[in-house]
Amino acid sequence: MKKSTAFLIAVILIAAFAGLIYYGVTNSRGTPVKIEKIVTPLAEVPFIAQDIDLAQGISPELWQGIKPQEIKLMYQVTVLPWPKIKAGLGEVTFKAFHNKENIYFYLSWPDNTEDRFHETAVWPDAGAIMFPLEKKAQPHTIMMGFLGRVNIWQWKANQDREYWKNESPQTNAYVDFYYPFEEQELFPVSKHVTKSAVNDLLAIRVGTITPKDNQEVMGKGVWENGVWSIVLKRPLEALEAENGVNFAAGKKLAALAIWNGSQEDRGGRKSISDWVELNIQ
Amino acid sequence: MADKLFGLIDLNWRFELTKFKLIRNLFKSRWFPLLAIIFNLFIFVIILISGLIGGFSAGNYNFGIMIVWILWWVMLMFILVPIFSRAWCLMCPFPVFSDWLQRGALFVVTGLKLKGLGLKWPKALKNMWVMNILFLVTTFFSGFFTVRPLATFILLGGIILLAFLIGLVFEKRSFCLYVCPVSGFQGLYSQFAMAEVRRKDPEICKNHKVKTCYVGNECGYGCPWMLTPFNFTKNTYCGMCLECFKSCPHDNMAFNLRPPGVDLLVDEKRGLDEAWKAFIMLGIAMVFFLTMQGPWGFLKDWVRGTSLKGYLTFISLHTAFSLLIVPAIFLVFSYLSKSFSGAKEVSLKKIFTNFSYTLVPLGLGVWIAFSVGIVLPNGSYILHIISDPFAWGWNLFGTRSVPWTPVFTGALGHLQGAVLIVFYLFSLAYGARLSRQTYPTEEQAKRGWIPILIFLTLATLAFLWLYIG
Repeated sequence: MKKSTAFLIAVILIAAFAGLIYYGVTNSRGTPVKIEKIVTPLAEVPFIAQDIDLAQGISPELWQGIKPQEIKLMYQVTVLPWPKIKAGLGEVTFKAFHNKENIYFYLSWPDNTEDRFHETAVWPDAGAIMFPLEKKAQPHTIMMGFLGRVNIWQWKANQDREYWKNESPQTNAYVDFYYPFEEQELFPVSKHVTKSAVNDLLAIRVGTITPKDNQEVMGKGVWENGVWSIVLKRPLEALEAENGVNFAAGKKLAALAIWNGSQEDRGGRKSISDWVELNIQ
Repeated sequence: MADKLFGLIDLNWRFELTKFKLIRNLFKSRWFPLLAIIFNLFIFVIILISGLIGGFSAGNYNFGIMIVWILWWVMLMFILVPIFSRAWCLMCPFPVFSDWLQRGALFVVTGLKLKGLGLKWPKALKNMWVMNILFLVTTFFSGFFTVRPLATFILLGGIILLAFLIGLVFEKRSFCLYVCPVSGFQGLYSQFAMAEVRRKDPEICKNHKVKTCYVGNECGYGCPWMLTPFNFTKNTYCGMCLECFKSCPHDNMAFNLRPPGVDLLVDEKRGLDEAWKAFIMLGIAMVFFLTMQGPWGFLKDWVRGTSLKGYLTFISLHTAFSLLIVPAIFLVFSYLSKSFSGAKEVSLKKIFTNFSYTLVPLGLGVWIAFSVGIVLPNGSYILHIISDPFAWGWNLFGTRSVPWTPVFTGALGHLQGAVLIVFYLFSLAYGARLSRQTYPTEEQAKRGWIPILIFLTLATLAFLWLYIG
């Protein structure tokens, strides 16, 4: 074989391979690839010189004056148990403000059933906000806190009922864990004392959800006409500098999650949003 | 007295599988391994197409990624290399096009003069260094191969193209022998394999003046790997193409089963290139475990190239660790071995090189354990992708809807640990023998073995810590 022939064959093959790579880069499944740039929704957190006494309600009239941001939700699909439906909840209406002392978040989403009980095979509705604790937050993932330390505020409908209506926790789900001589003990043995409708949590990766030492977040939820509206409240400055998110003026990331109890959502099975950017004024 | 592995298996024990007529006829047929190559070529065509049109789809539902990085890799590490030596080379479709070009035919033997330019491979590169560097460089992109179908297409397509171009310019299987990134570690670890191709009766070869196994005849080509089958003693560079079975007129070639690892004691062509292959493989295994199976998210970000700085950090640390740090640590222990032994006449290079072969069983064990960590959590995806290889909604075998089902992952760490300990024991068994080969007296061998034993133990403990925590 002549050298020129070998050279020609080599050039043709290399060019053909480069062409294939170009096709692969620009096409997917026979059509040009269009990668939509992810637009992080921006939610304003204005200063409003008002306070909300959650014992009296969630002050719907106050929230009506604040511009809402509709946040898209998607279904978390990879954690067992498998979801019964793969359709997400659609959107959650998000609002926030602060009064230089406390910061308030408002989440509202449609839900045909008011699920306020946690029993055997019965799960409550819930909603949560997650804040990254690291300066440079990783891209959001399907698992809360999967790629870095986060502070999660989780409001749960059963806890809301227990706390605001002063009802004892439903015992059916955990009957085996209740100690019959609890009342005779000096310190609680099995009795759970609900201190808030909201759990103030930490996580660093999958399976690390841990309650904070200082439970600082209060919250209340109202279900009316097939819509949940919940308000979460916390002082602007956290008691724990390391583990609590601080809300200085400027941009801050957050992500939302919603659990629909009647669809058997619990734990990792939930609807989630991508990052939302808060502009704290 | 016979030397017995663990006091049980005679290292000289062999069982010739080709004494069975069926197997010998199969090995002598020109259909074998051609049919296996053509079958694999068909599979690789599907892999390449799925890689090309899979575009940016998820790796776990891509035929190319799952077959190559889950099924093929695991088969290679579990069965092909540790049991059947370079059996993958026997059926590898990568060099089939250059073979075709050089021979002018796929099936029949066309003549002794091969086509193509037929240049000699440069003498300075007749070793494992090119393969070492290429394999290491390939691992720089490990974060893309397993998640980007197109990255797998580029890698495999590039290898096939390179194999052809090298076959076009250089003689015979120069690509397989000196370049293929998959070939190097197979060659190294095939020394541990439980099978070998060897001549049977040396007298027959001695009296057979025309070495048809090397030059070829009308029944078979001369060794495409440019070896001399009539006298080779190690698996390292034998691609098991079986041409020597076809070209030997005396049926003097044998395919034997044997105790694992006996080639480690063959003191032939031992060199720093093979030693570095062992270090690189061990270093890569640790980096792969940390980045792929470890809980450190920032490492995964580095490997996936989410930032240029992180990616360059990964490449730098990975290269330094595999190419410099692991060998440097081993050099320290080799120096200690020399000092402990008191054998001043034995060179440090010889100690370093000889003992590097103790890393072959350990390294293979580490890679098998790593592969367990791949296949148990991810193996179930294969059922999905074989039914729908191009993600076009096909359901060829009715398994498209099988959900992701991790298997025995609760016991994963313990399984990995158990595998590692078994291969660690092999390393010890051969290490003691290598020490006797290295040092002139039994006493020196015993003393010189102690630092290497400590190194192997520390390396094993480090991996056990990673696997089990």
